[in-house]
Amino acid sequence: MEAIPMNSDVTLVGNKILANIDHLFLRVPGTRYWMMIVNNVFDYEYDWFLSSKKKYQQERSQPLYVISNYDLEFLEAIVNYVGKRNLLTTYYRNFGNLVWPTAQRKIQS
Amino acid sequence: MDYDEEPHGVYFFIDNKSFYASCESVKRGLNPLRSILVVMSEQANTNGGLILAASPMAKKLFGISNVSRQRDLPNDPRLLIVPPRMNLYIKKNLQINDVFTEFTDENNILPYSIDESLLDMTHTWHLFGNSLRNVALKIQEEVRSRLGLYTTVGIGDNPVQAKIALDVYAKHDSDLVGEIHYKDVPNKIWNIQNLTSVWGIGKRTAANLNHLGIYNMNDLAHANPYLIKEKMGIIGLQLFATAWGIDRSNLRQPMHTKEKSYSNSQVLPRDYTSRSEIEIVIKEVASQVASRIRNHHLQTGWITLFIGFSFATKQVTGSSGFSQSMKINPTDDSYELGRDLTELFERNWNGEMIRNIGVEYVHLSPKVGEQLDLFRDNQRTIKQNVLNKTGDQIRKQFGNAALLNANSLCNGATAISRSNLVGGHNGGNSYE
Repeated sequence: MEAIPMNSDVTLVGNKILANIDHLFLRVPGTRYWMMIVNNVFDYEYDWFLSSKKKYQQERSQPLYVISNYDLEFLEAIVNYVGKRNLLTTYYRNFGNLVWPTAQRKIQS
Repeated sequence: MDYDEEPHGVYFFIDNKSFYASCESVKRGLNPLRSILVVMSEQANTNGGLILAASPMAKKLFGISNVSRQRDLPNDPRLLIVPPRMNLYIKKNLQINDVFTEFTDENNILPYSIDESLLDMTHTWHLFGNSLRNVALKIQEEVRSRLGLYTTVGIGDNPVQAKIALDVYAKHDSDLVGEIHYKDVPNKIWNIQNLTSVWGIGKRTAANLNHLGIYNMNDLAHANPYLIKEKMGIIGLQLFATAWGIDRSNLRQPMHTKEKSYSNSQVLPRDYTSRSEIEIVIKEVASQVASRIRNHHLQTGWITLFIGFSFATKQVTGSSGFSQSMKINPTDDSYELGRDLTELFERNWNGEMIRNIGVEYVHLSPKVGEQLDLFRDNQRTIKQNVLNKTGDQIRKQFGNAALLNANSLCNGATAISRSNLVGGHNGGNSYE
């Protein structure tokens, strides 16, 4: 079987994440929204969450997507794809001192 | 007490600390013991939100218990609320049991619930350490380093000792390990003051024991076993044995149930008063259970319908609902079962508001062929049989909501909204 080029995977996964964001990002007035990407060292995957919080209230965190292709280069491509199409602030957790393979910048918000 | 004749083994009862909350913490890169997190189901039938699990820190800071409601949650900005993902917890449970198979063979592992397993370590424990506690610590470390989850271990010479060690002692131990052996029974079982903290004793059983003048485990151990048996039957005698730390169960011996049955029940998203709405749900549940028995090539000859009244109706009538059974000609046909169950409903319902619906099929027999009936159109029966089977195949391949009766689009129907639920809560598949 012919291997599917990575770019189409990026588009596929990126669009799925964007669709999930659309579904969960309700734009409730007075509410802060942001994305959290977690380097899950136990399951070897990247977990995406959409968090929201009203002032003085509890934080809510909803799962957005799980990227099971545990490859930083792939993650970087997805982050770039999604980042170009939505303006939510993204936070990263458990990436330590890791650097984006292409941009060669430290992985941080 | 001479315990020489009693079975002596090495049993580990292992529990995951705040399992659902811990799984969600790990997914978010947080330490399960330090995160302040609650898993809250916000399905329509949870009345605003039901807390399925709270992390140890959330319990400590806010006194949150499982099965609390959203209204019990403090409005504290430190608190993180997350939705449940039942399929994730099932997957994690399998991974944990996989780790256990490295310490004892699969036949000696009894998964007790989604977050508890019983391990018979009699023949293998000495391969992993020089003391039982060390082996328990090793298992804990293995689970923690591979999955990020914290486990609590109860150790005993038999399963009941291990379970009490887990429930009463391990949770308060700094290493999360508790131990009870035959020699510890007077010190560690008889001194338990709260009867309901012991496995097998709920509030009602405790009240029954109280009636017999038994208020703690010491009282139970020194009560008259003949009197207990007379008043509480075999269960009472079993509790008496528990008080003496005695358990003669054999894990390898398969359990044989007297009679197998299949049932499903659901809490409705609101109180239902309309006959047509209630009957749609009855038919949906009837069809769901029918599909399950067909999957096992069985047919039922006895059906039961459970109806639970709404809180308001209970207050007024004092009745919590009704349960009615009916003998029928053995069948596995969704249509016939739905029709018989709605008939049962119509015969017994007097317009009360309803909140719970359950259906059970008993007297199951193997379906070896189609029973034809002189008074029915046999071609139609055969067609219906093929239709049921085709529907089952489609649902098996494409999901429960892939093919439904048109009335599942009517007001009150719940089949579509429940199709992604696991155990009544969000399965979480849509995130992957």
